[in-house]
Amino acid sequence: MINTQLIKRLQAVVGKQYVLNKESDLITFEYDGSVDRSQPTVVVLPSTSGEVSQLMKLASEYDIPIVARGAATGLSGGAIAEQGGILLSLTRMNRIVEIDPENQFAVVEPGVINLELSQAVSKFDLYYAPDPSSQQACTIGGNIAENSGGPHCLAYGVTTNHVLGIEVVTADGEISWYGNRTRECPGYDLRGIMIGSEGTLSIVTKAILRLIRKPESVKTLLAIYKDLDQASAAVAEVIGSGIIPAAMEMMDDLAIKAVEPAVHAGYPENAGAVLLVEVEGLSESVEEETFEIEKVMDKYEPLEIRIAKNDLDRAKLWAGRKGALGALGRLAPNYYLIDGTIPPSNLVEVMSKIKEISAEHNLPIANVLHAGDGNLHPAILFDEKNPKETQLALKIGGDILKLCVDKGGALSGEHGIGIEKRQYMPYMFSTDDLKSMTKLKTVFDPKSLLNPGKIFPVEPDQLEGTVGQSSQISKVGNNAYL
Amino acid sequence: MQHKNTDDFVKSLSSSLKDHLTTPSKNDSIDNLTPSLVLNPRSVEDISECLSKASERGLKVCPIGGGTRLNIGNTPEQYDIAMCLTNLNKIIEYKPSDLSITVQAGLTLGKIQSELGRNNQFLPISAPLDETSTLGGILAVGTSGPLTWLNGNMRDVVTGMKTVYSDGLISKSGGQVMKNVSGYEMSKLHIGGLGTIGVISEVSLKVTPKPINETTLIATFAGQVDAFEASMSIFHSKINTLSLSYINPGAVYKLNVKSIKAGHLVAIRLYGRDMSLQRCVNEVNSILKQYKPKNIDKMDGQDQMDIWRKIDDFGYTSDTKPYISMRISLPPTIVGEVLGSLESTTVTKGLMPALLTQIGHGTILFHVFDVSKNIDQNKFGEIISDTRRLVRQRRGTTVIEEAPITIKKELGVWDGIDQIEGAFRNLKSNFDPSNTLNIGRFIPSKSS
Repeated sequence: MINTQLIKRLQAVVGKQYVLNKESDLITFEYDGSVDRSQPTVVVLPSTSGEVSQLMKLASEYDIPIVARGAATGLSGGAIAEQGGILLSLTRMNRIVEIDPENQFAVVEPGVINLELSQAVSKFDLYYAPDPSSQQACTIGGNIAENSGGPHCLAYGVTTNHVLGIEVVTADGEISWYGNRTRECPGYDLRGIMIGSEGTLSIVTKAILRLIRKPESVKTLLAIYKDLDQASAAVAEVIGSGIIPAAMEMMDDLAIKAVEPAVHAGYPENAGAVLLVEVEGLSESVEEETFEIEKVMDKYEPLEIRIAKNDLDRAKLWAGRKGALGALGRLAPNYYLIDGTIPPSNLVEVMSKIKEISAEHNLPIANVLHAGDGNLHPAILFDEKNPKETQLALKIGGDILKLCVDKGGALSGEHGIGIEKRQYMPYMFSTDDLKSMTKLKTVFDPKSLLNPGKIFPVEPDQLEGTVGQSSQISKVGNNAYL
Repeated sequence: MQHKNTDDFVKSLSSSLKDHLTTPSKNDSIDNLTPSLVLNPRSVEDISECLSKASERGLKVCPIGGGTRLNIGNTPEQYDIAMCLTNLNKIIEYKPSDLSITVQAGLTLGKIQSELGRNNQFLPISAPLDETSTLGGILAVGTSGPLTWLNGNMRDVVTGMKTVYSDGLISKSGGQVMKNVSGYEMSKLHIGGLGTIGVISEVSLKVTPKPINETTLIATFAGQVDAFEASMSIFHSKINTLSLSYINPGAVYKLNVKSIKAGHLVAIRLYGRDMSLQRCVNEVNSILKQYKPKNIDKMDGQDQMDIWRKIDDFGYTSDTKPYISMRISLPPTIVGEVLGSLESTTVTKGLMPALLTQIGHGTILFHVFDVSKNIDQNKFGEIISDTRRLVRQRRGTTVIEEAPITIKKELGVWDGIDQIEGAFRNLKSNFDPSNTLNIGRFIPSKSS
């Protein structure tokens, strides 16, 4: 697929030191944050849009797949070069090109780390709202590819609501701008089409991001409930009562059991669920809304409600939530993190069904969720050394995603479909739905070179030799990557 | 030949559709073109049947909602069938506690807001003539009104969409939940797509709790610079506004509201619970006073709703229909400079511009009214070309929304899409290979 001549041409574009094709180098690029792994044939690290354009033209000339990659924190296999080919690591393109505090936007390259942008604009009293849990590591390019969310997207929206324009390199190597520095742009919203397309339609090489003013006041509340149902019902009522907090996060008993010994957040042993709520805005509105939220929470008989008195307190309350996934290692050697969404009014029913599934299969599931917008993250705990458990974890994951769809939700809230969930797409979309999406893919990538094999379901007979869940089931044991 | 195809088309229709054919009227015409037929589908399957049968016979279809902004876009190259969607006017599902509503595209925005209002919720978008404008039409045009809370756009409230393509394919994307990264967000092709790629039939929307209280402050200034700077100071403060508009004297005159005094106007719609709203009012008052307004009026209740309705509808009611209208989008801070230039350029040509601006959103609506019959038409071409040049230099876009057909044909209504024309053309040819839908509204079809 990739011969010496092509390697030389790649080196001519970016420099010899930025083309990696030794086994020892490639191995570090074979996985992302998901369950799958596959080695690219070559890794190339461009530093400009022009270089990306030249690389894209080479990929097209040689008919080689090209997969863009940021920090590889994605959880659905989106940044894995499943079919080999060129893996385009965009981490060298990490410049903040321009900050315009008056017009409240920044122009950045795709390799800029999410949190670093907020830090850079902080002196102007601004920040970038989408805050995925991996924001200390994940890149803006990856966020755009996955239309990432985060706890504070409840009030402010997800990535697509904060991107004004993008510079992209399309499959033919052309560099184009979709959207611009203004809030409105006439015609088809090509900017919007690219966001969340998981690198399958174009490669983003610059982005103009909307910045928002930092809130004057922030208040964080922690409500501890005896039962998950009480906490779930409190969430649904807060949302239904006309208050949209900036964030509304929840953890169940198992997650608490893992977190408490690790971070000592002070959760009682008998807690069935904790609810973390953040209210932001003018100090008067924060006071007024906090009062209203407390009133609703009180109706569901919390064991305790704590309100952070200062930033230190606030950080402590968040520490439990932020440390939850890391702490799960205390309960089991492996976890498989699911990302489904449901309408918030179905929270009680779905959470209780997940508990039933867990009990039925005798496999623990810890739940950490962006409860306010119904984005569930059940973590199925298992031991990869036990092949049956691995198989079961995968099956349960699928069952939970189907449950989300059955209850009016979606397969993914913020992790994307990637390889992980592609076989479930027909569960949510009809053949005709997928046909129209395929047409779009053909418009922008007629040779299917951009991140091939992602999003769309693969025919069962084509799964042989590919990575992904279905093939992992047959590779349980030492070869399982979970 | 065309007539024969139309007859054949009508014969091919199922009886339920045949029963809902109506005679074209002036309301269905676009830039003085009148269709041969008006179809009134009652279901998504009806739309599919109409489109596939029209497409097989080479007939050209323009989807129509409330017909309030049909003239936006280039003049259609051919217009055989008007597909009127106002019979698709049902609420499919509304769960207030999920902040989600799914409706058919022919429902008017006014009806949706009224239904949501029963549960103290609303859609944070506005559009002209919302009692007539359908959601599908509003989304197809895709432009924002004065209500731009959190700087949101039309696209920010849509979570899912069902669309019908010219081959009859019915397809949905997205869903009813707030967060969703499951496949491509196909709705983005249709919001602002003017019905050139597919027909929007059903939409899921993210709704928002209605503010507990609202109030409006209206400040009148002697000069444009003070008015603009005052409004930018509000934009840069921590005060959240539902709407923030600058209105020049030409537009104030045409708005014709007795309680509003002549001058350069800044209208600010504020919201909040009791204490926070009071704080906002005090703070905005204090900012405004720094720029020495002639007066500041406070409006509540129906009075403020009426004034915002007038601002929403400005340029679209029979008494405010402009001769020429342009929509300009710019980075917010550049708006003031461009406003000044537009005003002086237009006045130099002996015309009075009416300018309405959404501060912070960077949108200017530029209208010219009451043009004498003897006026040299070249002046308009010059104004449009000068404006486009000025805006382009500042990385903005200009769209002609209303103009005599001759001007639209000569200058084209779009500016700033030339660089992505190839992508537009590919999308159109892949999704509408028979070139059935609203042809030529963005870019000329190859055959023309």
